[in-house]
Amino acid sequence: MHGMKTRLHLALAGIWLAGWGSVAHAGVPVYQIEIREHLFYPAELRVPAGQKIKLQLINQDGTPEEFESFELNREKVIMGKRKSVIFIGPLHPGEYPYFGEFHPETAQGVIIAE
Amino acid sequence: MTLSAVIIILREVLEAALVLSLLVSTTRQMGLPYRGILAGFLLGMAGAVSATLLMDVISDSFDGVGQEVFNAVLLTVIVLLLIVYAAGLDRRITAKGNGPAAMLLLVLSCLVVTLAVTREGMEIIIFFYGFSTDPAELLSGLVGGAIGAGIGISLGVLIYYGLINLPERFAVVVPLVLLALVASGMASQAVVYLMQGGLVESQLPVWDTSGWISESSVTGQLLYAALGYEATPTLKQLGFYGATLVVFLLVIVISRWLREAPAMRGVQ
Repeated sequence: MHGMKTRLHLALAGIWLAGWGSVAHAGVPVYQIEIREHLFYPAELRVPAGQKIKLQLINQDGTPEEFESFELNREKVIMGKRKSVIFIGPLHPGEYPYFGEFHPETAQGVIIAE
Repeated sequence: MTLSAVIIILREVLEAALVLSLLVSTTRQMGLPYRGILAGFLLGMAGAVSATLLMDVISDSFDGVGQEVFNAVLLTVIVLLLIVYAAGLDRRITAKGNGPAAMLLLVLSCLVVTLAVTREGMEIIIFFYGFSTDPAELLSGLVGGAIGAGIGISLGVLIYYGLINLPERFAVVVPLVLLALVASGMASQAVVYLMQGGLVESQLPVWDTSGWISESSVTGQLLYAALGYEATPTLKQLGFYGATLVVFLLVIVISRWLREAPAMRGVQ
């Protein structure tokens, strides 16, 4: 009896976790941001508001860069000559500046959710 | 370039310095030797170098979100270790000398320092690795980094002296509450990493306090290191923050009550 109850609880917890962390990446729009000579291309990226977005970050430079945005609550190191992925959103409509933490004087960009 | 180096190194050092000052001050308070923390620091440096060397492998794992998984796991383990550490912070345990409980605290503080230094040190090494092709830039980067590290370490030392000079009645409570807040901030940060990696569904933020305290400001950075402050948190982050805080405080209260219970039975 006790074992059955435990199993039921585990099953319920499993369902809850699956629902909570369910990861549906199909149909998630993908956008690319490239880093070249410590600059972001495009420096201004328009994305739909209110939904999940996949960003592909491509570092063409030989040196590492850190994609950083306080407004998006995101930070990630992209090593030199490497590609990486982050997910952002859902976002309220608005402007979300981001920058390259290792070269903040030049590496600046903004994501506009609309 | 110097200014950005100051800021980056300050941010990384500050987070590690806060954890270190809490662990060093509680180690002192408990009358334990410092060798656990020292060993943790050295292991953490080795960990940071290893993680940097493996960064390409880590980054490419889990379909390109290995860094997020790595950081979320490190943070979660630190949170769990801190909970057990805080539960054992009791003079009644350590007063008996080098018993198993004191040894456990020593090992826990060693592990926490190892993981915290690995996490923050890794980013510092990667930052300087970017200069390897440009010796002139490297020099200004090192100067900036030294200034940033100096400020971060000074703040850590300041917090340490603040903690060890607390009046007797706050001497136990304040470090415990600070540890609970730091751990809760880490738990919230772990959720953000999982959202960034697309492993947990993200949400619209619950509120936006960036108009009051910007995350990029010095105050915002200090609050981030101490409380895990974020201007635009999601409900899942707040949930994990609150749950960690409650569990942390409950574990402290229950562990203390369990230790008091036998003593009281003895009196009766």
